[in-house]
Amino acid sequence: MGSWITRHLQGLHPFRYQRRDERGIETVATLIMIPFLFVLVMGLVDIGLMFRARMAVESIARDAARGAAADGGNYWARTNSLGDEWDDWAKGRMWSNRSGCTISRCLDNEEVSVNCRQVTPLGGGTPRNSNVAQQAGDVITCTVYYPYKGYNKGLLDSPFGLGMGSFLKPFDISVSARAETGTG
Amino acid sequence: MMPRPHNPTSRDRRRRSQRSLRTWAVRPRDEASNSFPLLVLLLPLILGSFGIGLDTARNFYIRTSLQNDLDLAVVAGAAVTSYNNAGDVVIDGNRALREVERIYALNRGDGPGLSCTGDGAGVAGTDGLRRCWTTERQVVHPSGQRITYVIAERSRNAFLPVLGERFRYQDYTIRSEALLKISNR
Repeated sequence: MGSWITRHLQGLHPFRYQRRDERGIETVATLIMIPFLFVLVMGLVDIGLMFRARMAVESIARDAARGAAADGGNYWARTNSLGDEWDDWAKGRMWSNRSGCTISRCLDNEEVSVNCRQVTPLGGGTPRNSNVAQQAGDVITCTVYYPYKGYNKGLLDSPFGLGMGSFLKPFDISVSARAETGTG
Repeated sequence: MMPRPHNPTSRDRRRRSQRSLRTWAVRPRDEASNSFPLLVLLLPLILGSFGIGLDTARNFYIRTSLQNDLDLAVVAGAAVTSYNNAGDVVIDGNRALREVERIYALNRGDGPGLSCTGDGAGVAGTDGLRRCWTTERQVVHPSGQRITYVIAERSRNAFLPVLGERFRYQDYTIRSEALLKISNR
């Protein structure tokens, strides 16, 4: 007695219904997690690449500032055998007219720009726009605008990007060096 | 005839064990609870790893950047030439160190996430920049040929504090040294 009734009732038990539905729940969870993990990993890689690009641009700006400082300004190409100015020299290391940015991807229709013409007098004060330092001790500042874009900016800017797209934006780098000589 | 008492053999035990494994594997309630706790457990771990990776990368970037700034400043300081009343070149370590501070302050600016740990005094020749780093050592070597400048800086971490209060800040000790320039005007 009770055998078929019990079996029937067991068959109607709510948990029995769920058995069939619960199969594959791990697959579903994995399918939900994989895009999430993918975005996280892509974001981490992209932010790492952005730090790399910043360091490379900083390094070039520093070299240009130091070169200009040793030259007494941006104009005199005493140590630059090609005779180009230091901002052209720096730009040539980050930008190619044919392929655009060479360090990493950049925004479309935007160009790298370098300005090594800011000279602050030795005693301080407002920087003036000049190609030459007046005396040793003046500070020459090279400013670089780099229109950084990132490799997965579209993905990271989307709602799935968890806000990581905001890290991947153009940046300015500014490096100052002390002029070792001047016109004075 | 009396039934022989059943002594489970190793074969019986293996069967029972296989049966219980099979039962466990197909038990719906266990299946239902497998994924969710795993996700709940792993999510903080994944997000935490992401945050730690981000903070670590940023800290390496800050350290490299500060080291480069200090190197540039120390080279600038070492290039300062001073003269005595007779017009001879002399070593003036203090002037060189003042120049190190000026150029370092200009390049440090308000670096990414840097805290102000110094005395906050104004740095001469910089239009209001403050000394926000701690100078641990500034030495003109007795031989007069070298200057050494050692600073301490601190930046605030964004994600690492979840590991504990001691990870709230990242400290940096940065050292740079340069030969002093001795040359005529």
